[in-house]
Amino acid sequence: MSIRRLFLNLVVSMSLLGMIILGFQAVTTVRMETEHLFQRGNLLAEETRLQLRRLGERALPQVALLASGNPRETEHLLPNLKILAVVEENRVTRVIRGALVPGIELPKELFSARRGDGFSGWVISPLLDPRGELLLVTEVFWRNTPYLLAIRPNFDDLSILTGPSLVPLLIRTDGRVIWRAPRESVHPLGNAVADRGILERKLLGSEGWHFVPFPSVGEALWIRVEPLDVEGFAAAVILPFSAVLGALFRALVPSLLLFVLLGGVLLFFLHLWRNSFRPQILRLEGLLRQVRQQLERTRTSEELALAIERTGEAVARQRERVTFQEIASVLDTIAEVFGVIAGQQEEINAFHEEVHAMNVSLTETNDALRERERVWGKTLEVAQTVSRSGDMVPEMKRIAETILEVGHASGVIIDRLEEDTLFPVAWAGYDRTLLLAPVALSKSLVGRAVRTGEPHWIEQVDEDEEYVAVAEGITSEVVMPLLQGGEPVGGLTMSFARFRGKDRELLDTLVPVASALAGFLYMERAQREIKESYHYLVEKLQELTALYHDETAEHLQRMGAYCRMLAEVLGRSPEEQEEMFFLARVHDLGKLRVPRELLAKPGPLTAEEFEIVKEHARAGAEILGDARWLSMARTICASHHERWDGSGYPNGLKEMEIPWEGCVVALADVYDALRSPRAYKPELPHETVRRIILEGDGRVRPEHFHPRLLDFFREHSDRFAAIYDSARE
Amino acid sequence: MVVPELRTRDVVVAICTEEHGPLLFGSSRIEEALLWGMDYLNQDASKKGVRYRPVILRGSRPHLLVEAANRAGAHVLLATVTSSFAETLLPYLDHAGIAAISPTASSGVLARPGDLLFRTRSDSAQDGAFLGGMARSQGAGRYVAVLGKTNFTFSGRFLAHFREEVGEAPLRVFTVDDALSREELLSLLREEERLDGALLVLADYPMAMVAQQLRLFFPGLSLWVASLGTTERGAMLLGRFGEGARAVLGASPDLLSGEHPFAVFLRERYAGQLEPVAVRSSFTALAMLNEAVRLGGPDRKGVIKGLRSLDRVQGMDGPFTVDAAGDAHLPLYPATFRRGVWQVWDRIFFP
Repeated sequence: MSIRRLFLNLVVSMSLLGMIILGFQAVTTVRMETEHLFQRGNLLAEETRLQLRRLGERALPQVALLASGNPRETEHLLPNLKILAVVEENRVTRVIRGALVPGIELPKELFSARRGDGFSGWVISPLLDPRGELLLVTEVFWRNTPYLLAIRPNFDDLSILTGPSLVPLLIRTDGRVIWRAPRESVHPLGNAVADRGILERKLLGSEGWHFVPFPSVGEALWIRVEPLDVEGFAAAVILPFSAVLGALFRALVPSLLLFVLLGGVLLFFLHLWRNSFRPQILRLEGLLRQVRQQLERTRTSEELALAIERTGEAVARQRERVTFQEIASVLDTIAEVFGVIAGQQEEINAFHEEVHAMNVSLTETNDALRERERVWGKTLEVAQTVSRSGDMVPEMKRIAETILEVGHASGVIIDRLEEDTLFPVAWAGYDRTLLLAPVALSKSLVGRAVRTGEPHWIEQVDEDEEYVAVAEGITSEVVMPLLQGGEPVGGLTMSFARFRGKDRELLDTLVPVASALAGFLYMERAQREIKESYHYLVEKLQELTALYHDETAEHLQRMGAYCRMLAEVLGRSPEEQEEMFFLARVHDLGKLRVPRELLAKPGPLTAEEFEIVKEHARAGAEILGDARWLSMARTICASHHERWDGSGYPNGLKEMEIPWEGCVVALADVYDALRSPRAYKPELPHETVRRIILEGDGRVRPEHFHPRLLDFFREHSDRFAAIYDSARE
Repeated sequence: MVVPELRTRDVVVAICTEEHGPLLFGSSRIEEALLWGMDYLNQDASKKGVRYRPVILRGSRPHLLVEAANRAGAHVLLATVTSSFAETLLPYLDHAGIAAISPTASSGVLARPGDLLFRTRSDSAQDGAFLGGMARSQGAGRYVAVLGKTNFTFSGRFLAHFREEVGEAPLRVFTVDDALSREELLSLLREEERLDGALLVLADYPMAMVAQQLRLFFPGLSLWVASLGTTERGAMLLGRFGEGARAVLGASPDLLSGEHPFAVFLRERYAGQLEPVAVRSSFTALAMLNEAVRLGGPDRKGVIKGLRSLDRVQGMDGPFTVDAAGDAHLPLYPATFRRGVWQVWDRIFFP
C-alpha cells in the first residue's frame, strides 16, 4: 500500500469514525433530552391533579367556618373563594360571598356534578364570574345545608414546571383553555396554541403523547391531554417540535462544532497533502525509484559506487527543495543509509573477492582432487583389470592416457628399467607415429629421477643437459622414479608443450600412481619371466613333438608364419599375432599320445586307427594343462581340426563356434601339409594346393575353412607360397 | 383558474388588546376569533400570495401599543379596545402611519372620515333606536333603565336613542355593577303598578342578575336587552326569567351553524361553544383587511389605501357596506328570548 493511500485511508477512516461517534452522541443526547421533557410533562399533569385534589380537601372545613361566621369577618379567608351561597336546588337562598342575588336561579349545568350529600364533584364554569372568568364550582353539604362554592383556581404554582420547551395548559375537555402559564415564560408555540383559546380537535386526540402538525404557525408539536378529577377538566402539556429541534441542536452543537473542526482539519491536511506534502513525497518516491533503477543496472562494485555517488547528489538536490522537516530527515537518513550501504558494499566486495578466491581455490582443489581421484580410480581399475587379465602393457597404456588427460600433458611415457637402460613400455600423447627409443639411465631426465629416487620437475627442458628429446616442442617435463620395494623398476615421464611450473598437487597425485605403475612394471617383468619360461617349455615340447612324429623345424617355423599372418587377417592384436606365431607350432602336441607306429604307418589308416589319431587334438590340450599362459596353445590343440562346415573333430564345432585360433591353424596346417612331401605323397606345387583348397579334391573342401581366411588365401596365396619357400625343408 | 403567486408575502397583523379594560372578557374572545380567522385565511395563503402573521400585543397605554406594533413590523393593527381607548389611539396611528381596524370600538363619536381607524360597527348605540322601536310597538311607556357603570358613555347614548324612539323617558335610571341593590328593588316595588318594562344596557352577567331580580318581583315585566348582554352566557344565566325579553342582536345565534366556509372551518376545528358575536365581529374586521390588502397591497400604505377604498365587503352573513368613515354597517337581528335562547325573527339591513 502506498503512503498516499495509507494516509487517505487513515483520514477517511478517522472521519467516518468521528461521524459515527458524533451521530451516536447526538442521537443519545436528543433521546435523553426528549425523555427528560416528556418526563417533566408527565410530572406537570400529575402535579395539576394533586393540586386540585388538595384544593377540594381544604375547602370543605373552611366552608363550615365561613357559613357559621360573619361574612365581613371572614373575608380574609379563602381569598380565591368567589362564590359561597346557600342553594335549594338551583335557587340561591342566601349569599355569603360573591356577586349573587338571593332568589335567582342558577343554570342547572353548575350542579351537574352533584352527588346528593357531602362533597360533590367539581365543575368548571364561567357562569358565576361577572367577567366571565372560569371558576371551579361545587356543592358541599354541611349540617344538611347545601352550599354552592365557586373558587377561582390559582395554578400559577404549575409555572415552575414550565420552561422554554414545555407548555402546560389546563383545559376543558371541549378544548377551552382555562389556565395558561405566563406568556413570557413559555415557548412561542405554546402561546400560539393558548392564544386561540380553544384547542383544536386534533390536539385533544387520544391519551398519551401524540404528534400533531400545527399549520397555523407552520410547526408541529407533541401534546398530551390528561383528564383530571374535575368534571370536564383536563391538563394538557405541549412539547413544540422546534423545542425538540432546539434540544437536538443544542445536543448537536458540540458534535457539529467537532465535526466542522474535524472537517477543517481534514481539509487543511488535504490541502497540505496535495500542495506540499504529496509533491515532496512524490519527488521522494521518484528519487527512490531512480535509485532503484540505478541499483538494478549496477553490476560491478565500481558501478555501485558511481550509483551511490549519484544518489547522494540527487538526495542533496532534493534536500534543498524540501520544506518538511520530516521529509528532510528522511532524505538525510537515506543519505546516511547510502553512506552505510557504500561502506558495507566495499566490505561485501572485499568479502566477495575473498570468497571468490576461496571458491577458485576450492574449485581448483576440487578439480585436482577429482582428477587425482580419477587417476587413482583409473589406476585402481587397471590394477583390478591386470589382476584379472594379467596383461600389463595395455593397461599401463590406459593409465598413461589418463595421466596425460588429467595432467593436461603433451605426452606420457612409462619406462621399464633393464640394466642401465630405460625401455618405453607404454606411452600416450606425442606423435602417435613416433617410435620411442630406449634411453640411457645415466643420461636422461627420467634416468636422473630413477637414479636419485625422487621426482624432478624440469620447467625448461632446453636448459637441462640431460634432456633427451623424444618429441619436438616440449617445454617442461616431470620425471618420477617407479620404485618397487625401494628398488627402481622404471620411470614416468610427463611432457608439457607449454611452460608448466611446479605443481605440488600433480606430484601428490602421481605418487600413488607411480607406486602402482612400479608394481605393474614389477609384475610385468615377473609375468614376462614366467611367459619366457613357458615359451621355453613350449619350445621343448615342440622339439619333442617334432622328434616324435618327424616334424621338421621348418614346418613348425612356417606354421608360425602362416598363423601370424592369418591372425592379422582376422584383426587380432600384435600380441596375439606374436603369441600365435609362437604357439601354433604346438598344434600337434597331442600326437605324443598317439602310438608312433600309427603316426609312421605308410598306408592309409583304418577307421579305428584314425579314431585314435583324432584323439590327439583333445590329448594336446590335456598335456598343456590349465596354465594361463598356455591357454591359446590349448585352444589351438583342441580346435585346429575343427571345420567351418562342422565336419571336423574332436567336437564337430561349426562356423563361429570354432575358436579363431583353430580356424587359423586349420588353414595353415592344410596348406603346409599339402605342400610338404610325406612318406605317402610327394611335395605338391603351390598352384595345386591352392586349387585343392579353393576348389576341393574329395578330402579337402573349401567349406572347411573360415570364409574370411579363405578369401584372403584366394587373394594372397602367394604369401603362403613365399613362407613355404622361405623355409623349405 | 387561480394562478398561485410566485412569492407569499407576510402581512404582520398586530392584535392589540386593551389590558384591564372593561372589554377584557369580550376582547379575549375576539382576540381568539381573530386568530381563528387568520388561520382560516391562511389556508390558501400560497395561492393568494399573502399570509397573515399575527402578533399579539396587550397594554393599557396606546402609544406603547403602537410602538410595540412598529417594532413587530406590523402592517396593520386589529384593535380590540373600547371606544374611549380607540380615541386615544388615533393620534399615534397617524403618527406611525399605520391603520387600525377595531371590531369592538363601536361608538359613533369615532365615525370620522380620513382617520386611520376603521371599525366593524359605525355606532352600536343606534341599536337603542331599534330596540326602542320594538318597545314602542309593545306599548311601553313606563319603564326603567338599568345601565352598567362601566362604559357609561355608550349606555347613555344607547338610552338616548331608545328614549327617542319610545317617545318617553324612563321612570328611573339605575346604574349597577352586577346586580340591583336591595334599596333599588324596594323603590321599584313602590312603582309596581305603573311599571311596563325595563331597558337593560348591561353586560351579560349583570343583565342576567338584574333581569332575574326584576322578573322575581315583576313577573310580567317587559325586558329590552341591549346586544352586549345577549351572549351565550347571558342566555344561560337568564334562564326561564328571560322569557319574552326582546333584543336586537349583533349576530344571529345560528351564525356558526350556517354554511359559510368560516363557520364550517370552525365547526370542524373546535369542539367547544363559540361566541357568534365575537366571531362575526372578528371575521368582519378580517374581511375588511383581506379586501384592503387585495385592493391596496400587503404593506402599510397599501392597507390604508385599500381600507379607504372599501365599499362593499363580503361578510359571514352576506355583503355589507363600508361608509366614508371606514366603518362597516352590518345587518341586525331582532330577537325574542324563548325557552332559554334568543330567537331571531327578522333581519335589518343597512343601506
